[in-house]
Amino acid sequence: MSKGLPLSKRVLEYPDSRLPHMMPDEAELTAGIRVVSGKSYGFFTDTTVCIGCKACEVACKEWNNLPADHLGLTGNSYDNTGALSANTWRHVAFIENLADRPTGMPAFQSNWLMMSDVCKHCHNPPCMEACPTGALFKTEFDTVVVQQDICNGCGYCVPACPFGVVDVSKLDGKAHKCTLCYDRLKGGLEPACAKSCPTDSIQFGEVADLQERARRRVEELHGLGVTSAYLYGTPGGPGATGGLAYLNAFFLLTETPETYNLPEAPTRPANRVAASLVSGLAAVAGLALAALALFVHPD
Amino acid sequence: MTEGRKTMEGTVLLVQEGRFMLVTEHGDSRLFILSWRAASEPQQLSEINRRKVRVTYTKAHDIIGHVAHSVQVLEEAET
Repeated sequence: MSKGLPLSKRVLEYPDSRLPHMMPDEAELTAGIRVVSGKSYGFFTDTTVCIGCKACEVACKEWNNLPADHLGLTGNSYDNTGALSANTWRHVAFIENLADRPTGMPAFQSNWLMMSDVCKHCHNPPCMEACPTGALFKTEFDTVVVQQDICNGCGYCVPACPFGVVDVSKLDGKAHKCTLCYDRLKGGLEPACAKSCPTDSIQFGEVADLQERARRRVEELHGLGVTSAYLYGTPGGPGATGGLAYLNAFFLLTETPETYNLPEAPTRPANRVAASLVSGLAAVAGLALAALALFVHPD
Repeated sequence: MTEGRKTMEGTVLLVQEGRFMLVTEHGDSRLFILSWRAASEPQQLSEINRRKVRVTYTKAHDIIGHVAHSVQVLEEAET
């Protein structure tokens, strides 16, 4: 396990449990960074230390005032959240590795993979490219947010997202997804999910720092014999394909992306616009030529 | 479309996007989502924060929350 962040000296400023006021730049104490406009922030999710407690899901719902949904049991997993939705912006996926069961699994060893899924806050966000009203925008923290007062509920962003993150609520008719706690960032706070994570599986910080930290973690895991560990969403790696460049919220995985319900090679739909336009024009031209051949008779 | 509509009065505790939390005088709290049919828009909800309101709502399917169809600010609002 990684050693964690050095404790900020600022903790000495708050010796009492009761605080007289809100801490300025609280993220400095909880995540080791000061949140500043103009820098690029994101999440590094290390799935090898996720214990599936779902504290991140609860913290997200509490802070964002999101209703509990999917009431009842799915019947096919201990994970009853199911998937990301308009009301669920963090989803801890429980994936049971059945390949080597029952004889190959070591005694008293769990064979569960846990991964806290979230909006990837893509560097080149396809949802934003698809949005006709400009409701989806890049914030001063390089995150992607839906402006509720501008969203008209057209739903173009839903199929544009290669990760299936964005969802339109049937109740309010607006698109919803993780805002990377935009309001908290503006107040100098760490996002609720990262702050609540008891194992630091979700780490918040500047993207460049997180990418370096993640690379060191992969090397550490390789040294420990976990040679299957790799990064999903870092530049040049899987998940950062098809013009996405990189994901601000990236993951450390130990199985194939498909195992975690992530696409192996996500792409921007905009990449296919030129080809679609050419094929469309070719079809129109072909139909026009066919019509000419049928209806224009040389006399 | 007024079937099954109920009303609830209370103070709005917090507003996030098109969602708000209402606390009744008995201390019960309820989560409301502003309906797409409502005459109000999400950006107007910040004006009702910490104010006494009367909400006309219906139950929502498969979530713990209600759909708000209208929000009326009561005259005896606390500011």
